[in-house]
Amino acid sequence: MTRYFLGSLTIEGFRGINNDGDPLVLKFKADAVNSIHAPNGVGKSSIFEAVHFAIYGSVPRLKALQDAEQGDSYIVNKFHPGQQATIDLVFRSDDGSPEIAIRVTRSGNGARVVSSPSGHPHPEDFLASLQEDFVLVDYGRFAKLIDISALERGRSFASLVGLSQYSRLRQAFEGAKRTQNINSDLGLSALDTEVKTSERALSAIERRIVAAHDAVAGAGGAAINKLADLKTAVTSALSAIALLKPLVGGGSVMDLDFEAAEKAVEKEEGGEARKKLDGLTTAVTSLSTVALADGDIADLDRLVGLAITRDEAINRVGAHKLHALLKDALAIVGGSDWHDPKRCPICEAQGEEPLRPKLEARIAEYDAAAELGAELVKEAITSVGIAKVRQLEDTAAMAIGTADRLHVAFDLAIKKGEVTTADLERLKTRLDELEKLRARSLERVQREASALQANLPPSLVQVTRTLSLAKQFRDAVIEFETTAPPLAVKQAKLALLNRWKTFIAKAAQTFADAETALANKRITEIQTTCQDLFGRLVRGGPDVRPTLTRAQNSENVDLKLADFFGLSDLSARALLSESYRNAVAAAVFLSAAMKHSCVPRFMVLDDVTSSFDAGHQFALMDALRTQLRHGAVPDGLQFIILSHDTSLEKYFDKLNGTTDWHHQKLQGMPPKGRLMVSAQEADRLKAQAQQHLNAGQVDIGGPFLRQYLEYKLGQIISKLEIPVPPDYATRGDKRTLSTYIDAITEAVALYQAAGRCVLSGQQISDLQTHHAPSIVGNFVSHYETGAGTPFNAYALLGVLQSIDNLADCFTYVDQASSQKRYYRRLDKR
Amino acid sequence: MEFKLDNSFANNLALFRAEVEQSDPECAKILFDNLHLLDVETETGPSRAAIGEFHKAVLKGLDELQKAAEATS
Repeated sequence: MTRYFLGSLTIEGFRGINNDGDPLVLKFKADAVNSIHAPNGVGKSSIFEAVHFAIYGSVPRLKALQDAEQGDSYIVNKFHPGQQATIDLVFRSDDGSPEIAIRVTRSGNGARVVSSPSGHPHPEDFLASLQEDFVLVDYGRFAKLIDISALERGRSFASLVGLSQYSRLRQAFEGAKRTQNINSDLGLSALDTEVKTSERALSAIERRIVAAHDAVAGAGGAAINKLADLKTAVTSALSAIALLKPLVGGGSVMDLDFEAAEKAVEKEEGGEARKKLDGLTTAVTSLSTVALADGDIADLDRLVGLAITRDEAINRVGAHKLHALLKDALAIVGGSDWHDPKRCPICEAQGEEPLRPKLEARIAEYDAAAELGAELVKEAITSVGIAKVRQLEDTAAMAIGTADRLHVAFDLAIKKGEVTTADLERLKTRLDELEKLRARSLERVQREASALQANLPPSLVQVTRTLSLAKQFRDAVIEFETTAPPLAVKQAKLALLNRWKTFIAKAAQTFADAETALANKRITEIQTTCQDLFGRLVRGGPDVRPTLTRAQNSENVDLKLADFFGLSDLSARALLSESYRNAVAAAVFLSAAMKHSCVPRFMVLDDVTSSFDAGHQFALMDALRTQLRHGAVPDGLQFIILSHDTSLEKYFDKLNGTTDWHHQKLQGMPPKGRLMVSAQEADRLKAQAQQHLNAGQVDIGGPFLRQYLEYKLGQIISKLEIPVPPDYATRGDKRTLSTYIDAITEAVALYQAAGRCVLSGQQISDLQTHHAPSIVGNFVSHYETGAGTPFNAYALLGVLQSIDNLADCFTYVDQASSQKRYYRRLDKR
Repeated sequence: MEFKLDNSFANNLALFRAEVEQSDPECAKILFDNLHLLDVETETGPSRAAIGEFHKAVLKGLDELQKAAEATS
């Protein structure tokens, strides 16, 4: 895969960088560590934010502001006349592919436009391909890696080593396989209950068919799966009765006109007694059919148990209004206009952890209680126990008036979703009473039927009974044929849902196992590099071995010390100081970044050494330069370091110009003035100073002159290796110039006194008697102390000339090129 | 099944797909037809609502599967 370095970055009108019409241009070397130093407030962070904005389309610090503060309105520099931010990035490939230029603009009205001057067809996609966690790292990222929870660290680590897509999908599968989600989204549990209830009902119908068949046909062992045979047998039994044979004809019991058959029997030997016997026979059958089954009472006990669980859950979570309040809070925290995930929108308290998971957990408790209520209603609707109460109360032979039927009021309550524990307990008692009443009624009806049968001719009694049973057979068969097909459809669907449930659970487990194994491989891959690097970064490092371990069956990553001065398996978070913790984070980040093979091949590090002392700072820089840099090692990265640290500035200065280091120093006056790289801009500083002073604009030209003077003096000190006081860089800004001039003039005097000064006599004289006094007298004294004559444009133009003349005192003309060159040292050309 | 260290995410996902297709090709098709509904760009994984949308699509896929089975039987 082609990977890309950041070749250059050009910024105008973004955050603290105004640079109207004259953008800040930063150039980076692919095979060197690139450092950028700037004092506080000069615009270093704006550079980091510009790269972030280009790649991600946002500025994290502004995104975190409350809506009322309108963070996005601060993306474009407030003083830029065109009110447009422009960021140009040039990316250089590591395999000779053409470079890619991307331009990102943001106008004052918020429109972001991405284009490619080099003609890349999909510049947005290219920028998206750079969205890797290691590319932009600041101090906060380092500090966070150690202090977050094991799960957050695991996910952060996954992202760092290029496994974020795996982590996201793993979480997605976890959600998709969760039983609660499947039950509510796919309706699995509801369908399961529905199918079971229907199966029980169908089984009762089957029993009625078999019982009626056996009674009519006088045979046992009927099988419901041979329904056609059963119909034939019942039809044959009816045809065998001479009185009924003409009515059955060549048809089936299913087509028999039972009304006509009853009339025929009545006509043969009629009267009220036969009708009554028929009614009693029906009553005996219906009362027998509604007898209490084994599971009826148990079903009501189960419902009472569910209701009690529901009641307890509701009592635990408290007031319903609190539920609504929490939901409102979640909506606010989850909204795009809420930028601080740890701040409570109700009391505005600042927590240590994001609020959203807590709110979701609390709401989930309410939802769980509400879901228990909804489940109870569903269960009540399909309950066989309640259905039995309904059936018993509605059976005509039970002779229960409508007003006395308990189930009527309960059915109404179910429709309103109001199922109480007390109602269910009443129903259970009622069912018991109904069963006793049914048994008594059955006994009575059987007694009456027997008495009546004794008074009727035996042959017709039997015919009447057979006809009644045949009718029951027919009715049950019709019911069976109506109920069975839709049930089969539901059963097929249930089987399909269960098949999915099994599939997704297995798929999720397969993915999780593979993801865990992959993460462990990655950890193993970087572990040694990480420990070696940590050993190089900190004092005492070799005796401390930080070790990442991935927990089984979870995404948690623990950070332990495998070896802590002889002790093993201890918490890194508990034992290490802040700087050591950050060194561990640096070792983890850098080791992980080195193992990446994705599109970006650069890291931008913004003030990552804030908690380090000078020794640790230099150790980190040395590791970047010698162990991790592209050019030093085959898989190395390009590093771009942003720093305000004065100690590091010395280190950067010392290495600048070598093959493995490229240093740039920022100067300027943001957010109104220009921000520049000092080395590139010296001539422009002079030109700006001249232009404004010639126009009499002392207030504007003066600061340019100061920057130009500071640059030239610094250049002389650097080029000739002039010794300076140890604290020269840390003195106040106002003393910088005289510190520089004193260092230079005193060093010249010293070398002159020793008879070893390489400057000519004329140069020494000009320096000591003209140029230095002129610069100090006409500018530095007044600038630093406010004493002496105030500036005027004419005098400052003279100072500008003296600066160049002073610099010339440290140069000679090279015979070969006829060009001016600085002496190598004060005692050597 | 193991993900390979040097594979891209897409290639490892293809390995996973082949694995789940062996277990149940029809369910695997439903999963991969709707995977985009789950693979959302957030650090915390998909929201409950996103999972709900995914399940809606799964239901639709299972319904089509059932209809196809009924048509052939």
